[in-house]
Amino acid sequence: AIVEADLLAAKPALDEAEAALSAITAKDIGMLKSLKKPPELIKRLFDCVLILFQEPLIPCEVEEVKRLQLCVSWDRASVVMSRASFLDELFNFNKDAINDETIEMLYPYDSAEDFTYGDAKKASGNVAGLCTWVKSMILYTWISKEVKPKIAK
Amino acid sequence: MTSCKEAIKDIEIDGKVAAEMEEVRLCPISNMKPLIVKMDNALSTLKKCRQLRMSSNAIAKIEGLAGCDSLVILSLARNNLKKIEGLNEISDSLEQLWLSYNQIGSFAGIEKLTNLQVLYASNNKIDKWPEVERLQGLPKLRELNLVNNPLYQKHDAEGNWRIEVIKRLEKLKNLDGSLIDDEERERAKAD
Repeated sequence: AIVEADLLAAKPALDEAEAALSAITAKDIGMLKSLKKPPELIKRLFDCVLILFQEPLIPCEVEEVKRLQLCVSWDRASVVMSRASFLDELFNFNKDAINDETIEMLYPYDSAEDFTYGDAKKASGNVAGLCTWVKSMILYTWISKEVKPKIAK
Repeated sequence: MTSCKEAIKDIEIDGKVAAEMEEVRLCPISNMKPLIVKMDNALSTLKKCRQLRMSSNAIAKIEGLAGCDSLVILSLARNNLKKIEGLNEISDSLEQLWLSYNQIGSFAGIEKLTNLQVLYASNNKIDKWPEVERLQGLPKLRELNLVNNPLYQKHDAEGNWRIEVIKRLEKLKNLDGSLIDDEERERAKAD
């Protein structure tokens, strides 16, 4: 019964992630690609998508953009979001294949004060749903890490 | 750059003592401080540490781990590592090595980690089968991730990546995040 309760705890987060993804349209992505200067927060958000997709990133370097932060791999993000299948890839993402190392690499992004749906929404509208998605992937992995071993027993 | 000593001091908040902690994360950029570029001897004070997380830095070399006698998980993802080295002192205890997003082209030296169970090395520079074959020397290895290494890209495109790995690493349970099933094992044997 404890195991079921834990799994149920993940359900609202996953529902929320799905709803957030549904709000993103191909048009939103197209708009984002056309921006000469995309908001910094959105670039960081896309680094998180690259990490979850296990796509290449530039090596860690820091830059000062209002705050000291990791340089973002925006060129690579542009390639990934240009794929016709990009939104489908998000929807069909295999969340059970996420490992602890991936979550660890998301930490410098997720721990930033402005890494919230509200801030992302202000910066870029619907695409902010990606923030909800990233956060729910982190929560899901954490819960399933706690829950899966119990199921195995 | 942030030294290990400074990074360790920064986690000693609310009266916590790093030398007593089982989980240590040295990620200065999350506090908007510069990256760590060198693993120095300050790490040797982490006697109780079971999980040392130093990912998302700019470390070029694994070193300074003598004295970390309790280390089970070492996380060095997203650094500038080229080689497997500096792990002799912790080879008895180490069970998980997280090295994705580095520049590792060879697993030479990994054979010494006889208790290694999990190796994450996506997005590195592994491009030859003999490097995967080195992992045969790890009797307990059960989980491996090699996504987006040149060797992966080549064979994933050809459609034979998983079978070719399973053929070489018969005891593996999980490859690139997915469990290896009986059918794959049979195909690898028949191949």
